[in-house]
Parts: sequence; C-alpha cells; structure tokens
Amino acid sequence: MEEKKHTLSRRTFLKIVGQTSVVGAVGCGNSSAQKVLPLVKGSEDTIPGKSVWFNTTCTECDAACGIQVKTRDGRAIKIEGNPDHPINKGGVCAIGHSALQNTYDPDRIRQPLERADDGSYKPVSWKKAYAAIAKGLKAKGQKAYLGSSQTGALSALLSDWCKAFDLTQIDYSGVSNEAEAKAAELVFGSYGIPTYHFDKAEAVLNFGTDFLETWVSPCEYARGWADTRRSNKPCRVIHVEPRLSLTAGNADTWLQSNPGTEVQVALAVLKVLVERGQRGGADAGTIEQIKKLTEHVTVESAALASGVSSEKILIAAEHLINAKRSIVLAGGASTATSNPLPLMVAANLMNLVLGNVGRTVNIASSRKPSSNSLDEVSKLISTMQKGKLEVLFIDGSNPSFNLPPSFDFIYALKKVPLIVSFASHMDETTGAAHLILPTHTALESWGDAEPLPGVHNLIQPTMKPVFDTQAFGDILLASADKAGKKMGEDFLSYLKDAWQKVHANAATGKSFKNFWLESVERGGFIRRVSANSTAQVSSKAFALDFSSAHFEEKDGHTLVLYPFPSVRSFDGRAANRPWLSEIPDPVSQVAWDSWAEIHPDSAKAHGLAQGDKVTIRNHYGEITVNVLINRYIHKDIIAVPIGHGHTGYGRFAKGIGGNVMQLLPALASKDVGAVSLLSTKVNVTRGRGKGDIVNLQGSDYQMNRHLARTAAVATAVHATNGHAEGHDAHADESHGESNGHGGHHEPKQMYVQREHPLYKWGMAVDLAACTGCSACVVACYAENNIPCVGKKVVSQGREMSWLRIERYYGEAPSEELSVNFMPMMCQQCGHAPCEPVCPVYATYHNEEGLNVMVYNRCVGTRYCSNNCSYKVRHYNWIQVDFPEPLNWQLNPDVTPRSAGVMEKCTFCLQRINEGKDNAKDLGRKVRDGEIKPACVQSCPTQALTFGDLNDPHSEVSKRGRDKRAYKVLDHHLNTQPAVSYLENIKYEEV
Amino acid sequence: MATDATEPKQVTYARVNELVLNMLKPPKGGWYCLFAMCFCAFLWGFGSFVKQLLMGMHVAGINQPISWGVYITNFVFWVGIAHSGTLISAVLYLFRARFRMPIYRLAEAMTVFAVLTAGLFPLIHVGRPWFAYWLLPYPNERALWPNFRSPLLWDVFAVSTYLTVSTTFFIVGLIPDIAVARDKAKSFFRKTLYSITSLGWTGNHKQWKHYMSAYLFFAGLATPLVVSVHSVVSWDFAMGNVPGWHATIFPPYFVAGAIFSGVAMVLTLIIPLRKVFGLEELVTPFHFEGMVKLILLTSGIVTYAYSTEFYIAWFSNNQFEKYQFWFRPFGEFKAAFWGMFFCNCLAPQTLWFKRLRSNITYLFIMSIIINIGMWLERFNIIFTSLSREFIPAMWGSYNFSWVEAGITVGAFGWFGMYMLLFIKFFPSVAICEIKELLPPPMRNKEAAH
Repeated sequence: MEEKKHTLSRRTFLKIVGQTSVVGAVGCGNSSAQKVLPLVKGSEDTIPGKSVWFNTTCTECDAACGIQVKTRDGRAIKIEGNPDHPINKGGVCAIGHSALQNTYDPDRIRQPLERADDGSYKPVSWKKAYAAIAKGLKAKGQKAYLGSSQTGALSALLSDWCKAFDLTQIDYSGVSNEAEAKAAELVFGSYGIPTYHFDKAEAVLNFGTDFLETWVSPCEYARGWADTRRSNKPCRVIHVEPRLSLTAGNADTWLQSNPGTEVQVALAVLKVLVERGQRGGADAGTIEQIKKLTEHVTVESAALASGVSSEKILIAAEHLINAKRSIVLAGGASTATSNPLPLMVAANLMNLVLGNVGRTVNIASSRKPSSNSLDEVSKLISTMQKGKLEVLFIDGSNPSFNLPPSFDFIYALKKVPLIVSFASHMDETTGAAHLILPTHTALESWGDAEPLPGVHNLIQPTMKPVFDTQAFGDILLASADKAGKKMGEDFLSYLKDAWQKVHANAATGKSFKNFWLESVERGGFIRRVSANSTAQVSSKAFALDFSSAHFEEKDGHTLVLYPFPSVRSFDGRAANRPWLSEIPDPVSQVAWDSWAEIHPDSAKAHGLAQGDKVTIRNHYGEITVNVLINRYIHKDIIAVPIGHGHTGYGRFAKGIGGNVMQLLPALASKDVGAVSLLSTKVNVTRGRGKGDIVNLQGSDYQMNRHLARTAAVATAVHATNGHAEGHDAHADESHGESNGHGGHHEPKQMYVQREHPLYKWGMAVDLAACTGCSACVVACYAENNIPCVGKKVVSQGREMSWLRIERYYGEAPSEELSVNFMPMMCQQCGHAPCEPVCPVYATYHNEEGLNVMVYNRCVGTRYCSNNCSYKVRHYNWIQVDFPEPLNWQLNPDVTPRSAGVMEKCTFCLQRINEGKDNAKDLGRKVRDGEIKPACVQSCPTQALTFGDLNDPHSEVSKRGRDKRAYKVLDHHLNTQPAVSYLENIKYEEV
Repeated sequence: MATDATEPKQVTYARVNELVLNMLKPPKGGWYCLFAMCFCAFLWGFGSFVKQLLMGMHVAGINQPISWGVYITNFVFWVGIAHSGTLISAVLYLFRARFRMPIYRLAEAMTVFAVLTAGLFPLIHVGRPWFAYWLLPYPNERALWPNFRSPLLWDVFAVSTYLTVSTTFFIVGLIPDIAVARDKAKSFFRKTLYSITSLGWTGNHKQWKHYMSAYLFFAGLATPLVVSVHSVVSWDFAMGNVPGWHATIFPPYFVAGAIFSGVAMVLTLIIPLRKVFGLEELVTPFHFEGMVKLILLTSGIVTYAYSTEFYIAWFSNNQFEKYQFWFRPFGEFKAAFWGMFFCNCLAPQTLWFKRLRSNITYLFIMSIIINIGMWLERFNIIFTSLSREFIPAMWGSYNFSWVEAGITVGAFGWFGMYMLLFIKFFPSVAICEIKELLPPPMRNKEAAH
C-alpha cells in the first residue's frame, strides 16, 4: 500500500499531462488566435487560394463607375476599378472602396423587423412582413413612396409598382446635381450634365465644382484632368471658390471669391470674351443677348463684388481666349445658393462662345442626375402633417438626416400610421419605420444603370447575402404578388427582359443568351453612340436674375454658413464605414469628425481658438463642432462638412461631429428641386467643453525641406537638356548630385551595393497627377487588413495607415500658398535606416529590394520606427478586433498583426508573390504592369506606377528617369528609396 | 557652520566598528515608514506594468512619432546613476583618491541596484517582453541570430556585463566587512547570513594578500566598463539618424553625464544617511569636497557638450539639425530644455563658492536638482528629437499617461527598497578601508611615529 502511493499510474500520468497541457495552452493563448476550420465540403468551381472576380457597377454615387469585386471562398474582399470601363478606366474613389464595409456593416439590418408598441423592433419572418406590406399596399387613402428613383430596370419597376398601387412617387436623394442639368437645358437645349473632356482642354475655368472630389463623376474627371496634366501641354486650371477645397488646392490659380458672388465674375469674363470677339457656336442673336445681359457689368464692378482683383479676372479671360480648347464649369457646394442657375448659365454661355460645345463639352452624351423634387416633398410633408397620408414607403435616402429639420419632416413622420422602409441600414429615417424589409446592398443584388447614353452597366451579385435580406426589386415584385397584382416572377428575369431592348439596340448579331452572359462577365455593355447636337439657347436663360446671392440673416448672424461635401463623408450616406472615418480628410487632415473651418481673424473676432468647440446657431437650429482655424478660408464664411452628426445609422457613425443640415432653411433652390446649401448666415460662439479635434498633419508647411516639390510648368515640361530653372531652388541643399539633369542621378557609393539579381521593385509617384483623393489609402486598408483604431486612438497618434496623404500648404508660412498632396508609403530604401537597428532581424532587406517585415520575429522595441526617416512604420499599440461580419472582408493572403509588433507597407508583397507565381507557371518573368499593389491599382489618375527597376524599359524605370523625378531625403540621408516622386507642376501666375 | 575639510584622523578602529555596525541594528519606525512608502511606490509601478502587459502598450503615452519615451528616459537615467559607483570604487581606487573611502560602499550598492532598476526598463518598454530573450545570442534549432549591428543588442551585452562585474566587485569588497559584522552578530539569522556571505573570512595575512590582488584585478576589469557602458547606451541614439541623436559627441557626453548624475545620487543618499546614523565622524566635509569637485568637472563637460551640439548644428548647416536645435530651446518642450539648462549648467556653478559647497543642506538640494536635470536631459534627447524629425507632416507630441508615471515612481520604490534593505543588512560604509586611513591602534602611540 505504502509503495502504491508513490507510483504514478499510466492513467494518472496521462491525466496530468492532459490537464497541464490544457492549462498551458489556455494560459499561453494569444487573445487574437481563433479556430481554423477547413472547408469540409469544397465547391467544385472554386480553387482554394484563388480569387474569383466579378465585374459589376459601383452604386455609391450617380457616376456609376465600373468595378471589379474580388471574392475569395464566396466572400467579397476587395473592390477595384474596371480598367475597361469608359468612365473610371480602372480607378475607384475612397467611397467606392468602402462599399465592402457597407455590405459587411455589423449594424446592418439583419432580418425583417416590425416595430412593437413599445418602440422596439422585433424580427419577423419574410412571410409576415409581406403580409403586412400587402395590407399597406391595399390600404385605401393616400400612399406615397419617398426615396431615390433608382437606376435602370429597377427604376422602371419602381415607377410601375408605384403606379400599380396608386402611390405618389416622390424622388428624393441627398445630393443632387439637378441645377447643373437644368442650366445645361437652358443654354444647350438638352437636360443633363454634359460630358466634359478634360483631357482635351488647355484651360479650365471652374466656378466651385469639386470635380476632383465628389462632383458628378469624380473618377472620370480626375483621370481626364491628370491625363492633360501629364501631357506636353498641361491644362491650366483656374478655380473660383471662397474655400480652399481639394480641387482648389490642385488648381494652378485659386481665386478666392466672396461667397455667392461668383456670378459677377462669370458675367465679367463672359463680357470680356464677347468683347474680344469670341463667338464659337453662338449665333448673332445669342451674342446680342449676352451683350445686353452683360451691359451693366464691368470687370471692376465684378472685382468689387467678388473680391477677386480685376487683373485676375482679365487674366482668367485671357487664358480662356488663348487656349485652343477650354472648359468652363460651375456647380458644387459653393454655387448651391438659393439661386444657382444664373452662374451655371453664364458658365455654359462661356463654353458656347468659346466654341467648346462639341469639342470639350459633349452635350449629346449627358448624364441625367438623380432628381429631387423638394416642392413635392414639401407638399407630401404637409399632407403627412394633416394626417392624411396612410402609408409611406421609404428607402435608404434618409431625409430625416439630410433634409433640413426646418422642413418638419421628422415631426410629420410621426403622423403617418404605417411607414414601410426598404433600407439596408438602420438610419435615422428607417428608425422611425413600422415595418422594415431589409434590402441587399449592391454587392448582393442584380441591377443595371445607364449613366451615359450607350453605357449600359450591369450590377450583379458578387456573393451570397450576408444577412437575411432580399433584393429591392424582388421585394417590390413579391409584395405586388402578395397584394394581388402580379408584376413578374423575380427581378433577375425582369432585368433580363429589360435587357432584351439593349440587346436589340446593340445589334451585335449574337443571341441574347450569349449577349447577356458576355455583358454579365464584362460588367455591362458599351454601345458607341454617335449623336451630335447643337446648342439651342433658350431665351429663358437670359430672363434669370443674375444678381449675387442673398443670405438669410438675422441680428447677430455674422458668418455665411458654408456646408460642403467631402471625399470621405460626401452627403453622409457612407457614414458607418470605419475606413472613411479613420482616414483623414485630405485637405484639413481631420479624421473621425466634422469640423468648422474658420479664418483666424473671424475666429479672433468670435473668441475662438484652435482646440475649442464652436456652437453655430441660427433660428433653425444649432450644432456644436470642433474649430479648425485655417488662414486660407474666406473671412466671411464658416465651412462645415456635410454628412456627419448622425444620431442613428450605426456604431461608427453615431455621435461623430455635427449635422450641418440642421442649420439650413426649408428652402429649395430657385427653379431647382434641391436643398439650397449656401443660403443662410449664422451666429458663432464658443461652444462648451474642450475641443477634441483629431488632426493628423503635424506641420502644415514643409519648412523648406522640399519634400513635395513643385516646378513651374514652363521649366518642367519644356526644359530640354541642361539645368532646368525650376530646380535651381533645390540645388543648394541637394549638393549638386540630385535632379535637374533629367532625372534622379544615383550618387556614387562608397560601399559595395546590394545586388538584386532578379527583380528590384520600385514605385513612381507623379505628384502632378495626384489629387490627394485618398482612394489609395482606403485601398491599402482594404487590401492589407489594416485595422481602424477609432477616434481616441487616432487622436493619440496611433493610426495604422501604411499609406498616408501628406498635405502641405507650402514651404513656409511666410511664403505663398502652394498646396501639395504627397502619398507617403514605405520607400523600401536601399539603405534602410530601419534595418540595422532591429536587434532581432525582424526587418531585413530581401533580394528584390524590399524591406521585409517579419511580424512573428518582432519584439517591439520600436527603434525601427524612430529611425525611419519617412515615418511610415506603424506599431500595433492596441489589439483591434474587427466586429463580425466586418472581419469577413479580411484578405486571407495577408497576416493580421497582433498588438506589440511593427508593421508597414510591403508594396503588397502578396500581390507580388501572386504575380511571380503566375509568371512562373507560364515559364517567364513578370511583365511590366502585371503586378499592381492596391494603391497603384485604385488610383483614379494613375499617379502611381509600380514595376521592376532592373528593367530599364519598365514604366517605373522610365518615370524614374523623368526630369521631374526626385527621391525624398535621399540626398541628405543616402537612403536610396525605391520610390521616385515626380515633381508637381503648376503654372506660374502671369 | 564652518567645517574643516580635512581627513578624519581622530576616530579609532573601535569607533569605526561601532558606528558602522550601529547601522545594522533593528530598524525603527522611520525606516519602516520609508520602506512602506517605497513598497507602495513599487506596488503602484508593478500594478501599472501589469496593466500595460494585459492591455497593451497603448496605456503608455508614447505614440507615433515618439515611440520611445519615459521608459527609455528612465533606462538611461538609471544606467547613468549606476555609473558613479564603479567610477568611485574602481577608477578612484586605482587613482588612490582618498575621498572615496567612506562613500564607495554606498556608491557600489547604488550601482548594483540602479543597474537592476535600469535593466527592467527595456523589458517594460518592448511590445512583447515575453520574447525579449530573442535579443540573446543563444543557439537554437532555427539558427536564428540576433542582429549584431543593432545598438540595442550591444545594450544587452553592455548592461549585463556591467551588472555582472559590478555585482562581483561589490560582493568581493564586502567580504572583510561582513566578517566584522559576523563577529559582532548576535541573532541566529544574522550569524548564519554573515557566516555564509563572508566566505570564511578570518582576516589572516594570506587572505588579505589574495583579497588585495583580487580587488585590484576587479578594479582594473571594471575601469573600462565605466567608459564602455554608457558609451554603448549612447549608441542607442548616436547610431540612429534622428536629428538631435546622430552625433559623435554622444559617448563622452553620456559618460560625463552619467558620472555627474551618479555622484549627485550618491550625495542624495549619503547625506541623509550620515545625518540619521551620525556618521559625521566618518563622512566629513573632506569627502564632500571631493565629490563636489567631480560634480563641477562633469557639469562643465556636459555644458560643453550641450554647446557643442548647438555649435555643430549651426556649423554643419544641416537644416534638420538646425531646426531641431532651434526647437529644443524655443519649441513645445522648451520647459524641459531650460529646466535642464538650469539644473545641469547654471545651478552647479554655485558650488564654486566655498560657503555654498560646504553647506550640507545646500549640497543635498543641489544633488536633487542635478538628478532632475539629468532626467530632463534624457527627456530632451528622446522626446524632443523624436517629435521633430525629417517629415514635418509626421511631427507630433506626447500624451502624459498615468501608467508611465506609475512605473517611473515605482522604479524609485524598487530601488529604494533595495537600498533600505541593504543598509540594514550589510555595512554601508567600508569598515576596513576607513581603517586604512586611520592610525593603527597601538599600545605605544609615540613609538608608532
């Protein structure tokens, strides 16, 4: 017995071993580690590790860019531009990328919901939901549909559906370019926004349109703009706007005008043009009318009214006259006054007299903007208030958020007995609905769109629905069926029926089945439309009131409220996507927030300082946001971005910033059915509490370090061999070995250089083409599983962005404004300062010229980050979890990093490896252009180029030898970056 | 009180034994109070560290671009403190500087405990401390070696070497004194402790002969470390290309700074000790005088180094350096710069006045000022340089964090606990070396001369 005590039986031993290893395993477990389950039942047509791509259409704005959605194991993981698409030609904007996070939004409505008596929502079955909606459809009394008119076949189905059930269909969508379309109708004779060929223009006079940001079709215009900027005769852009927007910053000349006075400048320029004998396509009658219109306008009076000097107005006119082809634009937030048409009409008249119509302004190929009928919305609201509306159907257009509360929409909603919502998100309006039938997002549904005549885009599902939702079209059809009026089987067959017509028009000679399959594969069908139309100037154009805008004001209202859309927040529809909040606004560099931009003088006058909050109020409402003092904004305005300040929508949107729409009057612009954004003055006082603005830009100025360089067009483009004048400025600090002699010269090295036998990857960034739109930044987040850390952590300087857009206002505060946007990613230095300091070789140089980072080996000393001269290394300060199902988007080719390790740009190593593998399978080397890192792929202007520097004929090598090419800090530190920057170009003021 | 800066002659061997061993008597309330304070500080620091371990580095105030912060400041500060111990015990021993005798034991203890404190900070600082052993060149099946080019790796070698040598030197020096304590010890515990640690020391000639040559040998071995350790630490910065770090003057500048702060720390410790235990007879103004001279010398060297940095920034015409050295005195952290300038350059100059330097209270205050100044110096080097590097878009600032504050205070608690335990368990003043200075006790005193 005694002996037995000490013997360890086999079973006990196993028990102990088992228990201790369990305890050990539990104790050592990384909190981020998760179960890995193999795909037990594979599907036949998927190859593990291979992506499946779908061509479809982006539905984030009306531009309708063609996109390619990368899916892996049935999940969409990345959106890229379709290079074959005529609109975006391969680029996607920041918002377009974020459509993934729209689909995977953890706050999406997951199943049909019905409101209980206590106001909470409870899930119901689709059957029950349909029964409820059928009851609503069959109800007597007034019924209405308020929302977006949708696109293509869905639009037709929607209006049929509305007609069938006797619904008043009222079009409503947040941002609208209706004024531009109407102005085109008045001057050109056809309703719609013409197609602008920026690539053919030599001069652009732009009154306020943010055509590089959100206006109409930003990817398309940015590409056109960049193409001419890169050409031998770059177009000169003159921008007139009170605020320094991203488009203004990219212009050669920014003329700061008094708010609402642009029309005077436009008339003055028009007068000069006509006086100087510009006729273009205008007939004598029109010229007479223009002369009469501009009779009382002089350059001096325009200068006095607008604050733009008369010289500059004359110079602008001179440039237009001298240019062979030009474009005059008007639109955007700064022109959304209560009377927006006259300015746009004047701009169109300029296009007419300059002979641009048919050359750079294609009026035959015009876009129909999503229409807004605020008059009808107002009527509907009064009907609702009287309690006469029985049923209201709404979609995700969210008027409770983006319609000024002065319309009393929210109050009126409460009087409607049944509100049915077809939305995918629980936004402010849907939050008031009684019955919610959640819809698929565009990545999950079928559809089509025809943004331009002949451009037939198809929208196809790229994955199975994430939640228990249904396609909008199917909901319409099924509900009609339940309500006793059969309109079709399912939406796909409805869509196919609609495409029979496209097939017939296309006359390809193929069977419909083949035509359809091909169109689905390509993401649509492009039909060349050769229509020519001549401008028909309407006499109504001259009957408009061409005076400067008036602003509603009361006592103590001192500043003009200037709401504007931005590349991140647009009109607020994409507010619950962490990527868009996490990346900073490219101009203000503010992340995760809205802000009020104000001139230092006005700030002083109102007792505001940087770091304060400001309360902006008028008789409609009040909001409190952070102050951003900016010396480049007009003294009379206070600018607040649209799209923030949600009270619902989701965890990432709620409570971020303030909703500027709350300050706007219930006023539709004259003759146009859109909200008049620039129409009121406000009272500005210091808000309570401490400001918490998150501004990522350390210094607004380069401090004479010449990091982002600008050369004068004359020297950059026309310089032949020899010293270009524009470079002399840098010669003193570059010790004579830098650029200026036709590209970047590699200085002589003392030590033996590393060999890169096969490839040496490199990148070239053309600053002349970079607009700062930040699409590449979001693409990088999407591709590389970069976590979004949230406002607080970003404010502590711990953002994880591998690629950032640096924005500089110039070399030094004392110098003239010269805006530069500079994408800064890991420079993959040949002599990387980060490499020798790592004590454990977690970062090293590989034989293809990359600084490779071994996450698993990193101890976290952070020395590499200190020693990185470009500050592109990012340390995982916190462990960030991607809330389900946002994690479905994660790229399986990229390791997620855990807290405590350093990470950085790898030039998308996974893509390089994929490209090399593919080339190896084909038994050859990688061809130039085959591999594109995410940022390069997404760039709407192709400002970024990637390739093999060993190959002298590769695009990146060619760009590296460009006379504008230089390397950042290289001549100071001999870091030998693999990234070449090409100087920005700007016309010098004459 | 006008004190005479002469060597102590009037004390007898017995009096020395009495005075020193008196310190080992069971502690009183004051000691317990101090110990409790140190322990609380330590607990705060430990708790903060555990919090950081569990929640991640984000609880500290460091960020991008200031990825190094308070922890590295503390590391350099404590390594610097650790410096003077070896200087006083080894270098001054070789130079036969007599003023070292009564203070060197305390300085050595301080060295060992300061290295123990300093060594914690790299572990606290790294993101994944559980992998910190990867910095050691140990054989492994994956044939992975550390990067011998990295200054951080040399830090590991330098600090661990320094800890080994200074500990050995310290323990060797203690042996004869422990034997004295052993002979007088009454309690069983102390008797056992001292019997073991005195390694059978009997004080016979042979032992003394070996002891003296061993001591000389260790002094010789430790002397290069005085220069090397802090030079290696300075490479952490000098080898980086950060403007404000990348300077060849760093090694001598750091060594001088380390001695400067180390001597000040010795003063901070010895002055209260002298007061509390009545060691005025052993530690006399003569010894303080010697240390003050060292302080004045090193203060001069650091002041020279500071001005050289500014001069070179201007002379090199390197715009990044120039901006950095404009930013230090006039930028966001200017308070730290001017604080450092006052504490390290201006304030010590008052010690040229005999009236001031012979005032022990004034010396005590001055020693604290110097320690603050030297902490600020490291703060300046680390924070200010990192906040204004090459790319202006990535200039940044630092956020204060309670975790870092806790760990900083905790380090003082950790160090204080060691010091308090030491003075109660081992002779804090070198009995036998003091006796070397004294006239030997002879029956016939006249015959001795």
